[in-house]
Amino acid sequence: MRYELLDKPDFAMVRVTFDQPGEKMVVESAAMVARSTAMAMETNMRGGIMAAAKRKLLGGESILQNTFTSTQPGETLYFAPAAEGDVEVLELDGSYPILMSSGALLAGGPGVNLDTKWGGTRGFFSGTGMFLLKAEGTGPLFFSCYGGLHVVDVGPGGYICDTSHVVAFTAGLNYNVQSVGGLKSLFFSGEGLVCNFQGQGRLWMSTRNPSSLANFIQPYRRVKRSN
Amino acid sequence: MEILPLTPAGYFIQNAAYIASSPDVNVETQTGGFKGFFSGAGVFILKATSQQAGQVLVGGFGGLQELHCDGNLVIDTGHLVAWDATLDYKIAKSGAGWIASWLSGEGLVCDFSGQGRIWIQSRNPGEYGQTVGRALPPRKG
Repeated sequence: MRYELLDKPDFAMVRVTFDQPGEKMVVESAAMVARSTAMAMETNMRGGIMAAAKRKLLGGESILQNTFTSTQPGETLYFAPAAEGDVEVLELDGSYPILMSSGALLAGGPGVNLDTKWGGTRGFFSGTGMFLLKAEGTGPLFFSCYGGLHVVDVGPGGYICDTSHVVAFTAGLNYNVQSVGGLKSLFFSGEGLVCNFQGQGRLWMSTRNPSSLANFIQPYRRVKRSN
Repeated sequence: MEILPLTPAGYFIQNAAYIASSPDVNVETQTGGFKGFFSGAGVFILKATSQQAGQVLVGGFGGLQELHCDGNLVIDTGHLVAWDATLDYKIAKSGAGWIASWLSGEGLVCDFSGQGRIWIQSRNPGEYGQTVGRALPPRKG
């Protein structure tokens, strides 16, 4: 199985070329763009209904995933996220799990296991859904973000990132969610909550966040007059 | 954006993707044959043909990719931009049945067969609207 990231970074799309029959790719619902006709598509809930419901409610992922299975060599599959933004792929080797913020998952190999992880009460109230999806196992893991992806290697000094800009990070990092500087700044600085990372690891953050876009668009929307 | 030099067979173009064409290019709306193209993204399909040399400009949402259909290919209708008129196409459910198609979230797909090129866009306007729309407060009225 080979994969390429096309149209990076603003409207990234993934092309997977299968080398052997029976190779699988598990893709989030509605993300498929195109595929070879003979390829088998199966819709299912990974890990059963309870695990899927938990992922949907807590991790922001679609309940259902589509599993594409190749039937002959050379078949191709294209998939892309819904919003504009970048896509990154990591080749998981089992040595380090990846934590992703809700909605970041795009696709994974069949050997990648997903579980939700509680992001702490602070995160719960931030509205950014700091529930995290934990991906472990082996195989490729594709995640997407809104805007561009920026990589930060977190060292001993730690690092602070706005919660709504956190896309993914290696599980070796410790984090806690906190307000920037007390309650006052929570309401007045517009920064809201940040994620304070400690330890050694890598952090992927997005250069834009969708709720800022929504806030930006909102005043320009037409309002229906009542009379 | 892509400039397509006209071929003898011409092109089929999703209406929102059409931008411009040379004056002698004949662009007409496809009716009849293309039944039930209700993807929500592009309702009409245009056919561009010309007796002489000419060009058509098409654009898409996101990046444009040129795919080569050699035999069979399935494309999500929301990602279609244009394709060679040499290709046969039909709109089909993405899964085995209506329920499976709906559950898969892919909805309708375009089933191509034959030889030719297909241009796709890397984003689906309908899906984009749904994603951004969810973040907006409800509209009044």
